[in-house]
Amino acid sequence: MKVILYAKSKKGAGKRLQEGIEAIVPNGNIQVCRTIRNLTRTLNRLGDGMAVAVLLAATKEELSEMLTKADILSERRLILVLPDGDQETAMKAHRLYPRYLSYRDRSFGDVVAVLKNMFRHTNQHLGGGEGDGPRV
Amino acid sequence: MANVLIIDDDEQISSMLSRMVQRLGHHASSSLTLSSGLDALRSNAFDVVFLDVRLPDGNGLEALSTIRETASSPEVIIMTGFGDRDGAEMAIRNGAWDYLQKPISSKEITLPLKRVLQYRENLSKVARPPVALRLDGIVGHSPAMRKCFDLVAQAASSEASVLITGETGTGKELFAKAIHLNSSRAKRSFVVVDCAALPETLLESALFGYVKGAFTGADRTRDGLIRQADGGVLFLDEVGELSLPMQKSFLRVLQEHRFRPVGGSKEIDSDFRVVAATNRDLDEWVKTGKIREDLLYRLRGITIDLPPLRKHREDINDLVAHYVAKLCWAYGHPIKGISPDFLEVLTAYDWPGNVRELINTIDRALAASGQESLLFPKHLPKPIRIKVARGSISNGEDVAVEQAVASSSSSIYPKYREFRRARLAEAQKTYLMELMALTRGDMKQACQISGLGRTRLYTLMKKHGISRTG
Repeated sequence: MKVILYAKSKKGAGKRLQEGIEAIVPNGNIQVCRTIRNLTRTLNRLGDGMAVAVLLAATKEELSEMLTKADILSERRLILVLPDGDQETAMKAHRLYPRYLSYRDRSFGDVVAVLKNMFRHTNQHLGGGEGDGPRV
Repeated sequence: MANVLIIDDDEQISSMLSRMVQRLGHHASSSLTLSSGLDALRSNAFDVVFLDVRLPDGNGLEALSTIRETASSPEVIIMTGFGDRDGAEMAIRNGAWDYLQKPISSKEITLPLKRVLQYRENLSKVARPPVALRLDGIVGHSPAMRKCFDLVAQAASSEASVLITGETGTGKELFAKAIHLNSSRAKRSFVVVDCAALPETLLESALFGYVKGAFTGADRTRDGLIRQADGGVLFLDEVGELSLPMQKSFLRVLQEHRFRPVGGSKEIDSDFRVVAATNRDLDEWVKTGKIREDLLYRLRGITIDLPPLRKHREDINDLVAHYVAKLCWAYGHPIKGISPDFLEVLTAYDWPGNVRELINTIDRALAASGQESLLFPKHLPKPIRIKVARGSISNGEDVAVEQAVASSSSSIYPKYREFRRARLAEAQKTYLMELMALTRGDMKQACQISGLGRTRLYTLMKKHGISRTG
């Protein structure tokens, strides 16, 4: 199972998130996108294969930009990191049907734990032995 | 006046029932065999069928679905002379209105008949939703799917909790979204709770939210998913995976629509509606103590049991056309044609992974077809073709089938060198396009990242027709 990470910035929350994911997912199975355009292109190219997209919306504007691609994003298994806990932000976020919501100011141990479970569950469904699961 | 059909091989019972029905002011017809009963159903409209189980030419229970799917979609009341709990359960599961054990008194007939006719009358008043259902992403027109659409309409117009069951890949989440989209809650959130992905340690805070200082790292108060679903739908995906303690906590929330955030002292209200989904047999899980019976009862206001794809093969053509177009569009390719034999193979295969497996297969076939404009069976994954070929031959010729598939493939399969050259070119192009997107056409940065010299990079970009602007 592949992980597509969208984080506009290589610093701060983006860096923390990437490091957290890299600690459990083998390198070849992570693809990092720095623009929404690149993200949608990558997701389109993936076809309908198993993948989880971890999206960091560091600002409200970034979340709004993601919503313009809701038709592509909402069909994927998403973990969405939000800029804040406002009601309006949450309402917007749920238009993408994320499987898990986290927040920018967290350490992202929660995201890593959810990803591990997703890998485990997918491997169970596939009967295991895929060899691309997380290093747990 | 309603039309009632009695299918029973016992002439005495049949005429007695006919008289009872006529006395109640309805029209009665009778058939002594299953086949003549089915003929009658195909040529006339009936409101109710009294159906015997053991008939000379078949089992009534097994014909139940066929009867329900005839044009007038009659309600069926099963009658049998043999007490059979499993049969009763099967009858109700397959959509029977009621299950009566012979000998049947006039009173026992009158009441269910009256009720079923009231139900039919009511149904005819509200039978179809005034506007067409929005079924985004759901494809199909088979009787099995239409039955599910009717249940979506029914669920959308009510506030009852809904349990969607079905094998992996049957589209449970799409149906849950359709219920939300067609309901009065459509303008509020559809909140997904992935019960299988959320670790036990996170589940409580994710669902109920928490207050500042509730635990290490809780440096501000945050709403949970239940609060975020206020006015909307809380979708519990893979609900069978909830732990027993969590089931207990959640049951209380379901009953009272009130909860206390982690570390909080005040209770909060949330007007959410629950739609749950599972691929587990929850009745079995109740027996083994993995799921609470009271929770299951709460979740099961309306049940939608999605059929596996092998049970509605007639939808495969539409599904293939839909997803070929969709995937071609996503890849930016012209829409490819579909050869009849490509469809034949897909229709013959059993699809253990259901619609999701079909979509993945189409995806792989599109990749295998390269620049070709038409999809043929040769583009399908070999294991699928072998399974279909094996299934089409009685037995004893399996080896020959594998050899035939392998040799037919070898004649169209590319040489390794050609394959490698094509794939390498494809990979190079993808890499360069992403590199340009990543660096926004900054050649210096692109050289640094890729480790390529400027001249080599320009040569490769020219070869693949890639510009710096992507």
